[in-house]
Amino acid sequence: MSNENFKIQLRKGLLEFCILQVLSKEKLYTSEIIVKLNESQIIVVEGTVYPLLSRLKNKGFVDSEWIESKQGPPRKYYHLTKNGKNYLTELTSSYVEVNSSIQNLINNK
Amino acid sequence: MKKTVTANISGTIYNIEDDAFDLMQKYLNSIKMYFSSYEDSDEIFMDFENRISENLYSISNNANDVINSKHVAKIIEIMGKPEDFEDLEIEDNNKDLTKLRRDNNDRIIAGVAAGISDYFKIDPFITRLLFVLTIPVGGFGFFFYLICWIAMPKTSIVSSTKRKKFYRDHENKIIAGIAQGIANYFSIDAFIIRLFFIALIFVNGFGFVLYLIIWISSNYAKTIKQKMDMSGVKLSVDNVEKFVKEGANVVIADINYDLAKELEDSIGKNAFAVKVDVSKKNDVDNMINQSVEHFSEVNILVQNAAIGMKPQPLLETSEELFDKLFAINVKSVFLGAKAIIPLFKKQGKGGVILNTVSTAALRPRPGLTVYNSTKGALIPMTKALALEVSEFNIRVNGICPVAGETPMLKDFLGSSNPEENHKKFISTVPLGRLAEPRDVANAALYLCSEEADFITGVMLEIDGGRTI
Repeated sequence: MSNENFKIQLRKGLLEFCILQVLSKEKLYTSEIIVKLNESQIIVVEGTVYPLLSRLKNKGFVDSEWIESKQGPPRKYYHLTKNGKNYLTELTSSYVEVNSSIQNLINNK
Repeated sequence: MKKTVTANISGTIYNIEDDAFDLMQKYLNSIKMYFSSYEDSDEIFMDFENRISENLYSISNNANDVINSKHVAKIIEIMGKPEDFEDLEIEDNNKDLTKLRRDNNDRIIAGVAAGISDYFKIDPFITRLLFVLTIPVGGFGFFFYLICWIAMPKTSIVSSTKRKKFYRDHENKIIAGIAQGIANYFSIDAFIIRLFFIALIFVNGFGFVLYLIIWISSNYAKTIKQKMDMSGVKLSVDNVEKFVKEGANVVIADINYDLAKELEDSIGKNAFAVKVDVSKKNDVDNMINQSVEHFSEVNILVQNAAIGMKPQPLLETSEELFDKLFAINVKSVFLGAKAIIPLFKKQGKGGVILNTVSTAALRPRPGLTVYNSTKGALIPMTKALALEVSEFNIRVNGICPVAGETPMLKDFLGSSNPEENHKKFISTVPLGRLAEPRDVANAALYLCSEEADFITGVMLEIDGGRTI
C-alpha cells in the first residue's frame, strides 16, 4: 500500500469519529461540517459526508432540524443526540487507547 | 459559438454552457440514483445540491460567470462520484442473533429463509437457493431449515431498508439472463459470473444443473417496479422517469400528435407516440393495437384525457357542450376499458386501469354541473368494473385530484376576475395550494405499482384535504 493509500484509508476509518467530534462543539449544517473537515484535511471528496451523516442519523447518534437561512434555501442543521454523545465518549477513549499504543510502538524503536 | 442555458441550482441562477449543463445533469442523476435507496433521499439530495451551488459560486467567482465543463469537472472532483462513497458503506457486523425471526409476511414454507434474508439484508431468493442446494449435501439444508424453524420465533417483518432483488436480466442476456442478473445483484461484471458457471460445469456438471435450477425458479424483471428492485432503487416519480428512459416502455397517446411526438423524442426509444381521439371507438382500438404491435404487451392503462368547462348555470349550458363533455370525459373511459380488458385477459397476467376522476365528483360546486356529472359518472363505472374484472386479477382504481396548475385551470376560474377566484380556490384547500403534476403522478404511480396489488375500486383523493 502506498503512503497516499494509507492516508486515504486512515481518513476514511476516522471520518465518522471526526464528524461526531465536530458536532460535539455546536450544531452545524452540512457545508459547515465539510468546511471544518476540509480545514483538518480529513476528507478527500466532500460527498462522502452525506451517506455518513445519514447513517449516523439512522443509528440515532445525530438528529437534524431545518432552519431558515438569510441567504438561500433553508439549511438542515445537525446536532448530537444523547446516544451520540455517549457513543462519541466511547470512540474517543478507543481512539486515545489506540493512539497511545501506536505512539508506544513508534517511540520504542 | 456555444449555446448557454440558464439553470437554477438551489435558488441561485447560473448561466451554463450547453455541454457543461449535460455533464452536470448526468452527474446529478448519478448522485440522485445513488441516494435513492436512502430513507431520506430527497433531503440528502437537496443538501448535496446546496453544496454544489456553494462550490460552483466560489469557483466561478460569482454567479454571473458562464459555467463551462471545466467548472463542472472541478465540482465533480470536489464532491466525488458515487463510487467514492461506496467504500464507506461499512455494514455493521455486530449483529444480534437474538433478533433473527421467521417472517410470516413473505413465507413459502415457514418464513425461515425470508427471516434470515431480512436479517442479512439480502434477497430471500438467494437464501432459498442456498437451502435447496445444500439438501443433497447429506440433507444439510433440510436439517438446518428444521432447526431454524424450531429455534426462530415467528413474526411479521416490515423491512425498513430497500434491498435489491434478484431477477433475470432480459435486456442483457446471452442465454437466460441469469449471469447478468447475478452480476446486477452483486454489482460485478457478468463475465466473472459466466466464467464461474463454465468452471462449475467441469465439476460433475454442477454449473449446468445450478443454471437450470435458477432458470426454473426465477423470473425476468419485466415491470418498471421489478427493474427498479433489480437495481435497488426506491419507487419515486424521478426514478420511474429515469427507468422509462433506460428500459421501461410508455405509450403517449394524445389528440395533439405533435406534442406527443415531442415527448416521445425527449424520452427516447422506450416511448411511442400515438394520435387518438378518445371519444372515438376506432381511434381507441387503434391506440391499443399499435401499442401491442410496438411493445408486444400492455400492462397498465391510465385514462387521463378530459376537458373542462367555463363556470355557467345549467340552464345556460348547451346540449352540444353536454354531449362533448360526456363523450370525452366518460365515453372515453368506457371505450378504453372495452379495448384493454380483452387484451389483459389474453395476456393472462392481470393488469391495471387507472381513471382520472376529480374532486368535482366528490364535492360538486355550482356552475360546473355537467363537468361534475361527467366525473361523478366515473365513480360507479370504476367501482363496478373493478368487481367485474377482479377474477382476472385486473385492478381498476380512480384518482381524484383537486384543480391543478395546468392549462385546464383557466377554464374553471372563468373570465371575470380569475386572480381573485384563484386565491379564493386556494383558500378552500386546507394544505394551502393547488395540486401539482407531481402530486398526481406520485398517486398514479402508487396505484399502478405492485405495492398496491391488493387495492381495487378505490377513489384516491389528491386534494390537500379539500373534500374533508
